[in-house]
Amino acid sequence: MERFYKKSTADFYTLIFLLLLSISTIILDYKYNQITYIRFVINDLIIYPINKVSSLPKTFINELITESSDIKNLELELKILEKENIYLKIKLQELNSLRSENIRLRKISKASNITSKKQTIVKVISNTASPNKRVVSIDKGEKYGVYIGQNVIGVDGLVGQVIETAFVSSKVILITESTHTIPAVVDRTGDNILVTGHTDDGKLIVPYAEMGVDIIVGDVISTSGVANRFKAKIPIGIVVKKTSNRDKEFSDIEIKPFEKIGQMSELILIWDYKPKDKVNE
Amino acid sequence: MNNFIVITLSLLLSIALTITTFPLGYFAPDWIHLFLIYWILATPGSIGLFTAWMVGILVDVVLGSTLGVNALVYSLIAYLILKSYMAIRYLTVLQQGILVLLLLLVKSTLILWIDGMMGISNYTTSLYWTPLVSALAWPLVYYFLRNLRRKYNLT
Repeated sequence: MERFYKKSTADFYTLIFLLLLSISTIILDYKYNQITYIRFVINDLIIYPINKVSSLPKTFINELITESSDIKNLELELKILEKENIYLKIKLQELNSLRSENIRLRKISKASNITSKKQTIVKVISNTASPNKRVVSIDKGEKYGVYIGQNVIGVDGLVGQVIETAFVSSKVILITESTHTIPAVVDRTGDNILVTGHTDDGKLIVPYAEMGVDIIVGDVISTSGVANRFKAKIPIGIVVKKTSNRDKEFSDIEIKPFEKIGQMSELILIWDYKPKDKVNE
Repeated sequence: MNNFIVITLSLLLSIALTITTFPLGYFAPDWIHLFLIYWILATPGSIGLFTAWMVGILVDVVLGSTLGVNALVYSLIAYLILKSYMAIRYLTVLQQGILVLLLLLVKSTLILWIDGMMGISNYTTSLYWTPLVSALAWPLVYYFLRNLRRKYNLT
């Protein structure tokens, strides 16, 4: 009986100890961001290998599909790409002249927007890295110098920002996540607005847009650089719908992002921009 | 030693299952917790509160929640089961499923409560779907792990 009693109380004290330990880790992680290296170690040693192994069947099937796709299809694709390449080269010439003109103009206005010099293309390991958030994981981490808050773009526009780094992988939150907001600007008017994700996939909204705000369908929205979180002038999307309902206080503005966010296999990291203030998750 | 290897491997498998069922969102069963509950019930001698806590920390990293939230609820539920595994073992699988549902409902409530206290909306009330789906998946996990246990003669 006494032995049983002793074991019982020992268990109870273990529980109390563990509960206190949990509470202190919660406080350390939430308030001070102190123990991220634990996350770091577990991510690299356990989660990353499991992720790799569990995505093996998927990659295998994908490879099979690519291999079995017709040679004719590939030839057709090649032709299309060649055409596109010529077109883009012509465009590039125009852009080059425009760029030099732009630089000249900027020197006059003393603005300090520089185009990115260094970019890194990263592969997306999994498009759903969280059960409840739009987060993707990518295959580059601190080993390559990836940092929290780094801007992630696609070929056409903004995709998201890095929120968590490990040694060989990182997590990127997408701009379509409904709890994520970007300071943005309307290119036509220069008005500063906020752009938030939405629970519907592939849709962004402008919260708190007054009834009289000067935004029309077809306006291009890009980042404003306010709050030093995103680099300025990265294109985000185009306004596709605006409804002003008199019963509501704000107008509903819907933006379609330029990128097919959430279905991408490759992303681009840009390096010349670092958020100035410390990013807390 | 045998115990340790089989249990560890099965827990790793449950993590892989969790990662692959991420696209289901809240409708994915809570694999890791189901596996852990089974092992506590079957081999309370080799799995204790510390193991439960460490698995909880692992879950926090997998799900990207604040470190310690899941560790707290995992150790709490592990304690409840450790104190009553004798009684739970005599229940049928169906009755155990209902018990799992209740335990996971408590867990969801605690997680939402802690989340609300910190003011970060990591989870929404749709989290309550997870216990239901998990309870439905319980017989599957139960028979799978029982076969595993008998095959490797774990005690």
